[in-house]
Amino acid sequence: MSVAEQSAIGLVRRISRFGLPPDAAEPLDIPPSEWAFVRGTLAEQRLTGIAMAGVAAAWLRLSPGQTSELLDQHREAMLWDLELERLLIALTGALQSAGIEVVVLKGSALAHCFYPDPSWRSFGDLDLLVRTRDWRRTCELLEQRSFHRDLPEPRSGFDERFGKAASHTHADGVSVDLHRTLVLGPFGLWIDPDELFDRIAWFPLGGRSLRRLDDTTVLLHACLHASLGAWPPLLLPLRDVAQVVARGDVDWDSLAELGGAWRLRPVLSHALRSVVDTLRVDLPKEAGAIMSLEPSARERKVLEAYTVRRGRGGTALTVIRCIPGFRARASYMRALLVPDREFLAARGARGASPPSYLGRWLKPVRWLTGKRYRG
Amino acid sequence: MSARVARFRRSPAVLARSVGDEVILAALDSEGFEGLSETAAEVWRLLDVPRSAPQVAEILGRSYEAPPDTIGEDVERLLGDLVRRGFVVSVGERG
Repeated sequence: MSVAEQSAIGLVRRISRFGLPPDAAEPLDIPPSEWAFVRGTLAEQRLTGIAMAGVAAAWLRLSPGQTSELLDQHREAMLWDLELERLLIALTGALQSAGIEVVVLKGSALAHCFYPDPSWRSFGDLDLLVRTRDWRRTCELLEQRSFHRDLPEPRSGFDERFGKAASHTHADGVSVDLHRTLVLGPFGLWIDPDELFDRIAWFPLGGRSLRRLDDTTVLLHACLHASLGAWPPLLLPLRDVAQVVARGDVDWDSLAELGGAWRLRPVLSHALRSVVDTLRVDLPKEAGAIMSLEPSARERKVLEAYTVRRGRGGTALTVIRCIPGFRARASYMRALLVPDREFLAARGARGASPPSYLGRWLKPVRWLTGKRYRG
Repeated sequence: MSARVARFRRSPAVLARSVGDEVILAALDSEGFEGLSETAAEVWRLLDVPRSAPQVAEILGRSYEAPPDTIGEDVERLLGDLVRRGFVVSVGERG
């Protein structure tokens, strides 16, 4: 990365923390030479709403041309969000009519309940959580509504035992991430997905009342997403954590308890520390207690599977170690190594090389050797 | 005894987003979007709580330094239009 790009990323980082304590003292100008990169990154990381709020407060000082370009990008993002929310209301209504409890995760729930105005927080798709027992029925209902699942499950029954979510896309490009738990891999296996349905709050949207997680569990989920969703962590998920801390009614004792019960304390600690290090924001003293928790050697290893060892088989290898029972472990490995042909074909269609079992079997060898196979 | 005056507020069945000074509205029962430009958007924002047309005109008059009488008619026309299109609802009258 060039020096200019690093400088531009520094500017985007400052924009992404606008409105959080402590208040930024100096207004921010964007040099014309860095504007194209800043504008592109703001759009890519869905930060145009926060930038527009900074402009409205006269903290972010843009030229008329820069303002107009940002406004165009923001308008596009808002139109997409409105389209998604229209769909959200229709879909949640249909699921509820079918007797399926559905919880709105991330996007709309965060935008309406934790940000000063929903236009601050844009999103690209819908994230819905359903109970594991309703998973199949919900997938079918989405199919009936012309949503096509992006990737079939590796083997029958894999979703309910080991899966986190499946993305379903409509022909018009709208995508629904259907979740049965909050995160993939070992941390996902340790969460009790049914218990999430005991931690519910409601929010109004379009004259309806929609389920979301309660504030404490929203913070837990935001931490999971910020810490484990991408490596290195993206700015918007970090902002979400800071935003929920700032505006949510978080029960810190309950968060620590939940983190302990689901072995998520290292994730909470890592996410909160990342927020402080990256966004340079003040967090309350209760957050300090969680941040200071030192993970055990095992917990650290599991966390590394999502972070520094990510993309090198870290998550898959760690899941194998964390699945309780030989039969379940064997079933997971069989699904990874000998998935159904349909899954293999779908994976192959996404990659550069044609689908083959050999390619999948060589993957673990590459993970273990850390080298790319050149056969 | 004072005359009873109709009050208005945003329809809860409408989705909205701010884009700079504008507001974009999306009705649930139709496709497409409606854009409200600066002053209409300000009226929309004021209707987060029920207000009568004279109250809206008074607040707008203060921000634009214009006598409420001169903008009152435009405010009434705009509210009528927003009600007709389902973006704003009438919530009863207050004396």
